[in-house]
Amino acid sequence: MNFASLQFVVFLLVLFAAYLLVRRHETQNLLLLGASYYFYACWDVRFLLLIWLVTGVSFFAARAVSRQEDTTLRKRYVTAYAVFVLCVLGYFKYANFFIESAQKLLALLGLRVEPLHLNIILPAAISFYVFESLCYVIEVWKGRLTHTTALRHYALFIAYFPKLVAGPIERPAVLLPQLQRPRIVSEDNLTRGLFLILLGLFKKIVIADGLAPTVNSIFDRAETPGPVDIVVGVYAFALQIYCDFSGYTDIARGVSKLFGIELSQNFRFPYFSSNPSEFWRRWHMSLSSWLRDYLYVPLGGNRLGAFRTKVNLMLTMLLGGLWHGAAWNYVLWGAYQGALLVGFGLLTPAQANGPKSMVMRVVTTFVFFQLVCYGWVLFRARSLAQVHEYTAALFTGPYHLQVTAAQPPLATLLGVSLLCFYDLLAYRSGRATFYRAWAPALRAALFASLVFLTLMGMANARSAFIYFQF
Amino acid sequence: MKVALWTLVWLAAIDVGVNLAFGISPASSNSPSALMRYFEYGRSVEGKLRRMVADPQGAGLIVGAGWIEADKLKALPDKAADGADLMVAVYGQSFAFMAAKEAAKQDGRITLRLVGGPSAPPNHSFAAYQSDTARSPADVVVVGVLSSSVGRMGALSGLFPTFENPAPFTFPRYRLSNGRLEAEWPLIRSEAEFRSAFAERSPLWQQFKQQLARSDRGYSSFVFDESSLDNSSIVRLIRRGWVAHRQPYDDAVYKASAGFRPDSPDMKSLDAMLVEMGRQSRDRKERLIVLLLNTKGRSDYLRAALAPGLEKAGIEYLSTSDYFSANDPSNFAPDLHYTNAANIRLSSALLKSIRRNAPDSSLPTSNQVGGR
Repeated sequence: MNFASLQFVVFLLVLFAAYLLVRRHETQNLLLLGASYYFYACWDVRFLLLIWLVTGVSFFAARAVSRQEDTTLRKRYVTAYAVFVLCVLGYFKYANFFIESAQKLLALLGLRVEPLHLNIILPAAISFYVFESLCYVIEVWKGRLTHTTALRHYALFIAYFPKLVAGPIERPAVLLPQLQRPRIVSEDNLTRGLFLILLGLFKKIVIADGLAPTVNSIFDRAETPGPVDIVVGVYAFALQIYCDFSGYTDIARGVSKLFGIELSQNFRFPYFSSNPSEFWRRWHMSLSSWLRDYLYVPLGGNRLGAFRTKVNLMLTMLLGGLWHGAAWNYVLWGAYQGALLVGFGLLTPAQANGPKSMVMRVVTTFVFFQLVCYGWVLFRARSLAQVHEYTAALFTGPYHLQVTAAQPPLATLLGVSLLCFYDLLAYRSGRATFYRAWAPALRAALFASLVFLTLMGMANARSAFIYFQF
Repeated sequence: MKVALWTLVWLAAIDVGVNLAFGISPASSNSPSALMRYFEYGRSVEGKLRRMVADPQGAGLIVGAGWIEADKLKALPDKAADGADLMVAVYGQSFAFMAAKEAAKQDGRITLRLVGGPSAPPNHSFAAYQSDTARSPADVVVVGVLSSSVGRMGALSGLFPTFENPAPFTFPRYRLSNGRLEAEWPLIRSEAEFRSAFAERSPLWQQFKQQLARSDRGYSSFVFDESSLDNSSIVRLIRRGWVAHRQPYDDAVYKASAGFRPDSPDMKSLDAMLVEMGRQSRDRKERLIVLLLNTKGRSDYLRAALAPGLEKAGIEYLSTSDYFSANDPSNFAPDLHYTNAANIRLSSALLKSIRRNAPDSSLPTSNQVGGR
């Protein structure tokens, strides 16, 4: 069930009406849990079996950990659960990838093997709830979280539909307490929630869907386009993936706000970053913080010397890249991000004051944005061969000014301008709710512009949310 | 509450502002700009028709296109011209015409008789072929089956399928009943009938609307009926967005990523139509070639759906998938027609097929069927 669909609107209206009618928060929780399972079953009813399995095993693993005093046994329970759930993720998401990669490697070594391809369906959301369940068990083991005795609360934490299929990857310490206590559906939550939903739909429908044909016209063609076309396509993809993913998160947070539940922010104007560390504190924040806390830090983080820090960074980003998909270009993208982190870590930041520092900031942000965009070539490419061809074209030409990329619709061009203006103001003010300080008429002008552009964008062909495939 | 009211005020102001800035005045003799046309796309079908009929040299040019009328057919070339040795009759739409014209240009000795309509679906081509009996037998008959038009077999006219530029030409719907094709003809069957019924909103026009409501899968009164809502640019945008995401024609015959549904009644009718065309062309001593024209993103679905039936009936066909991929955007021009290069590849193959064997040989050899 796509957020930007009539089916979802009807689902949400019915659910919200029922939620308001039901006063007790435990009954509201059961309503949300049932709705979440229905939402997930709309993708494929068989997926429910897997989410129930992961929910049940992780709940009882955490319970076993919390009841066990012996530290060795506690660690064994956590390790056993981690192995179990990562094997589940590995099987559904990576089995065919590893088999095909092994077959190619054996073929390169001159060994013939029978081709093998397992008929496995990748369940939607698996990458997200596996990480959330692992986080929960680890937090209970570390003593940072008390195991919840109510399976219904935990089940809702895992399956909660606004964040289920594309995040944010929620921390139990943030979401569980909200589920365990009564919530208020306030006017402020409603207005803020509706605005986030509108903003998310605007980003998705007007910008992401509007740019999709431009991006596809560059990346889905048989022959290699010219460098200018590649640059146009990459810039378009940078905007597309940002608006697609952050738009989804905005809708998820907005929908959740209607129920009085706060989901974590997942994007904080990442393209205004001037270095990779800052970028990863602003882009897909829930994933980067998860990787930092449950992979980078346990590997040793920056506590074991300079060389080991770099190794840990590279490993973390490699696995972060692999999380995005079972393909070598994602691993390459992860390696590239790791290399940027390591490389920038070697640079001494230049000191400047006053207007000079503003100019430096703009220049470094611009330069870093180009580096991020090259990473998107690796991410969006259909194959390693395309990465090679497009990289060669970018650096060796032939150079000409001809642009053959599909032109975006008018609504998209206007929408990009409005989004740049909005994000810049929000970034400079440091608050996403900066517009609340405006006079009502001015605030309303912003809302009306978003509504009108979204209506204009409604004729765009709809494409699936990019992060659903992860 | 204040903000909500102000938002409504702003939306109303934008609505009026867009109409003032980009409204098309029917009295104006200037061609509307791209922006003006953009904000007009969501006008109701009747609203668009009214403006088109009032602008016969501009938007109204399409009003006369596609009608299956004896007078219009009579005006077309009937036999090979001086210097030409083949008469090729083509039934279909612009994609088929472009391929045929390029083939004729390459050859220099072919006379073309082009019978079709904007994005004409197979039932239009079938009806046109059956109605086109007054001409001399052609040496070769080419019928173009366009993948994006296959679903429009659920239509009775071009009014709904091409909502942004409705073409009022009509054609029958065919349904298979006990193995026989039964036609439901539209109540309005000629351009003159359309103009007079529409101008007066006569009882015939109302009956035609009722027939569309019953038998045209894409009919919707919100989309069709002209009303004061047409004056709102916001309503026009909503209507356009709604139509863009309704897929009443495609849903009946097609599933994205899986192709055409063989169990669909319209697909079975299409099979039957092509077999019947094959039989009729053999009776008329004409060689039939079916062009399977895959549109952007439609892969090789037409061949997968139709080749078994065509091969069983011994009907020669060519599929664009043998010459270029419909999944490669570089094979398509911005208006979604094939690029010149792709069209040349297709037309060269078509020319080869047209020139192959004697003109009255209708039983293909094994290397003819499949069109390689």
